[in-house]
Amino acid sequence: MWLNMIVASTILSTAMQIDWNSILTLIFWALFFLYFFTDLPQKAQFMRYERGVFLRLAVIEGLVKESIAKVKSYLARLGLANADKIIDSSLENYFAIEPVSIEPTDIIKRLDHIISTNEDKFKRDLERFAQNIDRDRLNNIAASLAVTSALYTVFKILRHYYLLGKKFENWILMMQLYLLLPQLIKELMPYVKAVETFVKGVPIGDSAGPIVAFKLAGLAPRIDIEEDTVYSVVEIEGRKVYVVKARGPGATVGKPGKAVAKIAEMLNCNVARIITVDAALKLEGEPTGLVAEGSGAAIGDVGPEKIEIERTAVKCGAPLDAVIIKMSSEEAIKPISKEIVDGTEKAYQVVLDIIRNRTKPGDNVIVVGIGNTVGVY
Amino acid sequence: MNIALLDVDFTDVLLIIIALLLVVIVAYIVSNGWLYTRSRRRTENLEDKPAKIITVISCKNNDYTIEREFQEGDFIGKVADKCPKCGAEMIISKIYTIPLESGQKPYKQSSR
Repeated sequence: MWLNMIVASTILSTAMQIDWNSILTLIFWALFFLYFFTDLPQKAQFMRYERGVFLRLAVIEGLVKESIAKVKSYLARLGLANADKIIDSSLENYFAIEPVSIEPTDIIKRLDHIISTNEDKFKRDLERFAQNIDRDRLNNIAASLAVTSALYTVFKILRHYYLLGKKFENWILMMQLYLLLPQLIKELMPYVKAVETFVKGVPIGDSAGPIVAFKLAGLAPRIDIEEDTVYSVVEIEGRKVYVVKARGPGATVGKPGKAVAKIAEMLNCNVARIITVDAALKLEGEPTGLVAEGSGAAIGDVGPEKIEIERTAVKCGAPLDAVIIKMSSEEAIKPISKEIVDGTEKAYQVVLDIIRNRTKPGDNVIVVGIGNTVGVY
Repeated sequence: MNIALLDVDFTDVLLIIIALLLVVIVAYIVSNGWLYTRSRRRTENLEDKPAKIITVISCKNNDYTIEREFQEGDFIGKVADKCPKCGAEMIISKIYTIPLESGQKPYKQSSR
């Protein structure tokens, strides 16, 4: 037996000695040919990208499911029987089609009309589903559903491009998704936390504007002026300050533009200054909670509310100041951090300085706290 | 010049190049994998850093402040209690989150 093994190994080593040269050359040329004259590298890369995108999409699908589960449990806690029906209906419905922009005449009015119609429809349906629920809780439900719907829409779009890329073996599309998805996942993760935040009623980063408004107005009576929008009148060193904000503590942004226009009309345009305070996106590298002051309407809506403030300022000849509190997009929807709260204190001081130094006693000043007023009276 | 030096076997050179390439590729994969795991762990730590929500309740006369953990139903501007010092209304003035450091003790109510 030993003899057989020695003979076999000798034959094998001799064979290997003989074959090494030709085997290596063959491998070298085969690889050279496959690499330079076929689509094999691209195919291999495509398969890798496809797997990567598939796995990352599964993560996003998990986020959507987690978000839906959180809303469902909140609705069940409120004793609503039709939780599934509400969620399913809000996930697929309530899209808004942009108005025709090739003819820009009255485009803002048309856009405002479409947005209002969609919001009204959503709120009416929600009220029908969730009867005997107070306004603040209803707003919290609406915000949670809006966040879940946004997450689901992003997932649907990404899945669409993934399936399209797979169907047509479009490796450029797949590569773009593969490179984009890690960043998107990081940006989408706070949305799941945001659902929990709205459910609990904790102020978020975007509540910075309403917090500054609260600091100015305190517990002064809130007077309804527009849907989900209130104002308070306070006197600061002889100036009459009209503080506008969304109606809290439910999660809503209100209609601050229309409220400003109504107050200006009420005052016969006797407005010395309009000051807007809002959360703004910081650039990478900038610290969170940094306060900056500029000109213009600090409001991040699609147009109708912002244009109302701008038009009112022009109509009344009132200078338009903007005070912003900087934060990242993630921080804007996460529970408010200490840095942002410190930023609101600085912004409050900036607003007071503007009122003291750029208006005279007896003037009317409008201060608007823009943003989601969740957890802020 | 030594002629023997030029008399190099092509197969040996190819073998050495392939072996070197293999070593480099394996080293690259291992280091990449290690770095990826490290960075991922760091990102996960950042993402899932536990945080606590603090509610700050201040007396209207600014002579007493109390901090406690957030309770559902709290909101900025809510009249929470009576001031133990002057009996005036106490209002929730701030709500914010702070990250919990590892090994930090459970939150204790504090007053100033």
